[in-house]
Amino acid sequence: MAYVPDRWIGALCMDVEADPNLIAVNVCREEEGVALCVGALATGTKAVMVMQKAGFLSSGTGINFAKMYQVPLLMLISYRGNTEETLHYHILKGDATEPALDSLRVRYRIPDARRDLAEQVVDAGRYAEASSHPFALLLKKEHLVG
Amino acid sequence: MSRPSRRSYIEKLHEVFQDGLAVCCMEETTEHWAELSGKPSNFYVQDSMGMVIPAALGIALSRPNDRVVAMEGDGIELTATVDKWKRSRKRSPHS
Repeated sequence: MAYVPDRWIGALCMDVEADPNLIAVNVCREEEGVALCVGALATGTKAVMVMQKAGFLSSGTGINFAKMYQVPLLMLISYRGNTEETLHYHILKGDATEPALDSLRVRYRIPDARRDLAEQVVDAGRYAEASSHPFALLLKKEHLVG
Repeated sequence: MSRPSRRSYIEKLHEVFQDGLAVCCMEETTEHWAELSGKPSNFYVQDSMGMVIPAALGIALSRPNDRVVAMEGDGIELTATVDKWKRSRKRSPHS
């Protein structure tokens, strides 16, 4: 897992860091994390990029890199700035998140809070693998910090 | 004394890393390496400036028993932050 943390995904990142069965790479720039995942996926290793929506918005070249080589890049994106947001500075970029995914031709889903999140992450990974294409899960606060 | 050619740099690097996996972009560099190496497992990246070094790190972490060499242009110095990466456990010995 490559990641750049934010408040919502911090606990997830720390859990992965502590898991001896997983490799966690804390990158400084999200687009590099995307490229790192592309390299891992190109070898057949499962990889996931975890980041905030602002990092996704600055990762266009990396996402195009994943599309060009048809790797099943799974992105877990903390969906700051959605309609439940209370911090004004997230809202403008939040407004751009879904249109940017659409314009990059990246399919995405907002998990159903009534279903187990882990199952939905597994499903998302399967979809990415079946499509050989990037896929994003937009994670809301309720999915991550209760 | 004239400057060494790109080809001479690549040949010297190949002497050291011929058993390794190469990740490279830049057309001329890729052509030289492909001619010297010819390994199908090399990753020749088209376009995607700045993606080579992090992709090589992803490959190196996935294949810790392989040597991985990344070749990028000097512009990467202006755009990449790879030297600042913090990595946790299970460091790859060749990345």
